[in-house]
Amino acid sequence: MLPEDAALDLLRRLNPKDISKNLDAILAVAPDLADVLLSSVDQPLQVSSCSESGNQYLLCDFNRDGDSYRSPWTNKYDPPLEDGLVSSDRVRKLESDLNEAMRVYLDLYYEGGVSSVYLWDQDDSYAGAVLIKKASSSGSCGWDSIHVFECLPTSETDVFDYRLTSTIILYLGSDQHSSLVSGALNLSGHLTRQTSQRMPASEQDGEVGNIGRLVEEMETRMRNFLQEVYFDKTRDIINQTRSMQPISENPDKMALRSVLKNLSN
Amino acid sequence: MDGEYIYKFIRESPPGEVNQVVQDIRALGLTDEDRIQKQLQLHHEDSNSPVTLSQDERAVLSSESKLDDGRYYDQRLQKSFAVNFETMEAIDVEDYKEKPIISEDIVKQIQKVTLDHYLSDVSIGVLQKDANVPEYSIMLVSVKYNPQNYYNGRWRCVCKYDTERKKLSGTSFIRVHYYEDGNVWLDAERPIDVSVDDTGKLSDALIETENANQRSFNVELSSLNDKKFKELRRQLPITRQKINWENVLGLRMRNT
Repeated sequence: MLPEDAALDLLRRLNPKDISKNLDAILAVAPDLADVLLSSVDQPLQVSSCSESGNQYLLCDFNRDGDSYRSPWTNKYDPPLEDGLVSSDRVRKLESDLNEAMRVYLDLYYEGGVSSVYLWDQDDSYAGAVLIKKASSSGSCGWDSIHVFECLPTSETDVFDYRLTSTIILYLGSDQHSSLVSGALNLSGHLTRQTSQRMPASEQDGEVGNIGRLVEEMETRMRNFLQEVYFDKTRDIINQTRSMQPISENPDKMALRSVLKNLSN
Repeated sequence: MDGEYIYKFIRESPPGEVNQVVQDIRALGLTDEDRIQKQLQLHHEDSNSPVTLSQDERAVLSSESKLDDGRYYDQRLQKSFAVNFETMEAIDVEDYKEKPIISEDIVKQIQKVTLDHYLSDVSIGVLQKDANVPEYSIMLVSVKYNPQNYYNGRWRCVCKYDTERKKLSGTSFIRVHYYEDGNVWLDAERPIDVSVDDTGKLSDALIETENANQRSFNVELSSLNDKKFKELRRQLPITRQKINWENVLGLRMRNT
């Protein structure tokens, strides 16, 4: 097994609430995996403030150049950089529009939180990341959306192939912040999904709508999926270990049982 | 390259997946077999993992039933054994008569609990330090391993029954790992703290209190769903409709 695959497998098995700590520990013993792990492992997003615009923005690899991060509101780096990485004018205009559009999306669906969109030029077209972060007032619960997409030209003029990979990091827990104490419950993790769609776009606004719709549809599907896994699936699994009703009153459960295993000695 | 923190991942593995975690750690170049064995031992003691002694004999591991030479004992079976941690089979099984035989009454009460309420793969451990000590340690573990469908779950009951104080105290632990296209953990515990008039009432008391704990887990899950989850992101905007993206930029400019 390649060390890279072993690291990813470990991070998929261990408790997601420790992901940042565990990733650091792995990189301490395998520093050459840094590039691949930092770009493929999703961690909860950090927030920064843009003093010039008065807005907050989210930090990730896509708006980073060295140790500086670029604000999507001013297109400037903090700490300032002479020649920081910026996109072409056309892509920057689209990025700016998308940031405004996603602020509306954020208000309507999240009623709070922070959003950021980062785009970059790619071959004939562009790619980007749409990020959202929302935390509960007590801080014990949080939602992070990380949508990464590419807009690829197709053989048809003005028709593009949008490919999206989305990860939602969701952590929920009782309001005790300390490690598990008697009576505490911790429910955390992330789920990832992919999709692609061909859509026409002849002028800029068409593209804002395409990406907006793509993200909205994906988040709607994923919200349902998260709900199913976090609440229904976990409860089902627990119900497969212990039954509140006596099993003798349920013939199906009796049939499933292995008599040998339960009459040990 | 110390890697101490990485070896500890073994101990923290989710139910049913410790062997994969060990493989991963070796693939990262950490091959100190002594440390791997040590962490495996701690993981299985923490998890009260079952060990097969023979076709119909199973023991549960715990730090309480560990002997000085690294072997473990099962008091109901009156046997001691070493453990092959790769296969979870007992090796060099011998008679072990240093601890009192567990009373039939206690065993029957516990078997009633597991027969009627523990599904899947259930294992039992009962310990008593000394015939003069009126306290029993009870461990019940039920695991549901389903790696083909990317999930594993475990219910673990660890408690002490004090026949003199007539008290049953301990904890119900649940742990679930779901990992299809992601990684989700549910980890929770609830206390056990009830009085038990006499041994004949032990099963009823344990069943009732664990039912209350199971109900409480379900209630808390529902509450997280109804409140905290909804507060994070609405299913639809307050307009009850999806966004009209054609108007979105116009909307924004009007508001600024």
